[in-house]
Amino acid sequence: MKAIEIKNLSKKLDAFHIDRINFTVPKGNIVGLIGENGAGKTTTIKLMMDVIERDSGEVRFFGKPLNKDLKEEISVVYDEINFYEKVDVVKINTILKHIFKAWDTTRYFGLINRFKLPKNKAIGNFSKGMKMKLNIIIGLAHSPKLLILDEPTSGLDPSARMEMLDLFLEFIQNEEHSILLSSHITNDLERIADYIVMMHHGKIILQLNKDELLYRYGIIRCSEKQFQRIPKNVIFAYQISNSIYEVVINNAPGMKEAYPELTIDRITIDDMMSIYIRGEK
Amino acid sequence: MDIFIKKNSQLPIYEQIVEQVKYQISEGILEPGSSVPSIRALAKTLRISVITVQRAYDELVKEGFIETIPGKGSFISENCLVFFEEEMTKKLEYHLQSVIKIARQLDISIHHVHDLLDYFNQGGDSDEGD
Amino acid sequence: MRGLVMKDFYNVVNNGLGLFVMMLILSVAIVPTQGFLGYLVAGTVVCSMMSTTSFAIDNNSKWEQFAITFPIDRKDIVKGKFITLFLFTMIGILLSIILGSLAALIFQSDILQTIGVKEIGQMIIVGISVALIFGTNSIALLLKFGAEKARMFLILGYVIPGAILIYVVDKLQELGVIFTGEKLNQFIYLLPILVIIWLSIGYTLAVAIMKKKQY
Repeated sequence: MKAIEIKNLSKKLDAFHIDRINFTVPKGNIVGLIGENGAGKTTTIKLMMDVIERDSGEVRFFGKPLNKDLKEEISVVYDEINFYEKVDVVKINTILKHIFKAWDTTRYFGLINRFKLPKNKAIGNFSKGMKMKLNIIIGLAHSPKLLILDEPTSGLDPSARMEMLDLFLEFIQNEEHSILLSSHITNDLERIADYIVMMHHGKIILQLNKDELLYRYGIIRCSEKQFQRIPKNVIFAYQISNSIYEVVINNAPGMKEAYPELTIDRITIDDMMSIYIRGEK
Repeated sequence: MDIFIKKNSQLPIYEQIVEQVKYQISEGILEPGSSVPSIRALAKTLRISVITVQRAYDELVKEGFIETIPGKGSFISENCLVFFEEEMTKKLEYHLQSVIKIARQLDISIHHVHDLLDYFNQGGDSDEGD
Repeated sequence: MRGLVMKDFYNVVNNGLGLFVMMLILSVAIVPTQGFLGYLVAGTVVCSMMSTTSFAIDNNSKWEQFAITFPIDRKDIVKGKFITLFLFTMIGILLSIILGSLAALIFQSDILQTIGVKEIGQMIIVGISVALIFGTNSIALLLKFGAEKARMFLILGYVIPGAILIYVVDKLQELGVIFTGEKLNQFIYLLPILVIIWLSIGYTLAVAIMKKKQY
């Protein structure tokens, strides 16, 4: 069963074009949507939730097209809090318990206490980290099955980011729960994501099981002469700087065996993205 | 079950888990029949993805070190030590085969290899003292 | 939807002190010159305009992109805005009566004796009607053009109908149509029907605009 299934989702906007996007979020997993700022991650999320009308394509949640009842089971958490800066944590509870059927006040304040957020302080005076924590708590308080998070860890210090990752892993303890998490900070996703979807200029360039990505792909740093010997079909992308070739290959174990003289390093998602974006394909 | 992940290890994380579980079995830290954390719980403790732990557990199940009883969870299998011995024997055989391969390449006679084995066995390897 | 209205209420009430001060200044400015009845209408309209403030707040906090992901329909968002308008119109009437009476007592101590309950009732109808009609116009305009761009339209939305009304009344009076108490009475009792028609058209239009909106 799939928590999210996206087929040929397209939208033409002034700035760019979401171009026939396909990807899935399997139930029980964390999927990381990765791309630079402006790659189309937020637009994709908005298209999925009908915040922006799509031109064509299909989006299904738990096998069904989006409807009011399904929205009870989905939480969208944007990268900033969408409440007026003068309201406080208590008022947010009062507002949202009248919107979500399953809103759980006890759970909400439980999490508020756990993260030591002040209850009667205007949220405009919260730090960036506190705002993001509150935002995620809001997303969790009506016990959704699916969390869709847009850049939830950007602007947070490392310890706050760790706390967020813990919260996500806690959420996923239930096998029925799933997370789609967009980010341009690949470090966090490299840790906790099960699948990686890479996006660039409104297109999906790669989607893969995270471990496959990290252990099947590799990076070769070599001279031009050595580069010529690398079979073209294993090259995902490459870039040349100071006459050194940095080549991302899609079959590191095979290449290690076939070309023991080449140094093949482990790859990070960051390397992969930046070489793809700035280099040759 | 205490597992420590080295982030910069050449060994993939799932292999690190597999290796450490096997090591703990061989050392008697993990006893046959004892329960191991669920995939999701271990992923949370280690702050890593579920599929990574899943892959490690799959491998451990496949090799017979872990048994999963639906509804009850995962356990170190009763025969884990047998499997461990089997694996160690295989490892030994593999290394011995390499030894012979190298010896042949270098034209070293098998008798000389025997002698070397005897020499190391009789304390040539100082670690084996006492 | 109750949540949506509460959200607007909390948001706007945070600016409640400003509203109260404005109503107070208005009472001092209008009651002595235009009288208690004029203030009743003006005060109600001013207070009802607070519902449009909620659009600016929503815009600043990018509320709509969030609200659309809730288990509600887009038309519920519009419905919520109309209920907020109604709510603040009611608050406006109450506040105008209280502050207006106080100002009247201070500045024209005998006025409350000279105007009848019927006139006050009529002015309440006028106040509510004008507030709801202008409010409906602003909701449609704000949805169509967004809180930023709508500022100018908004002023026009209040000023133009007001100017037209004054102009028409003036012209009619010039033409010899005299607004006798009788005619005025008839007009006032027709107002609620006009308001209901206006609200229905405005709501349908606003829902149609909202359905197409992208955030």
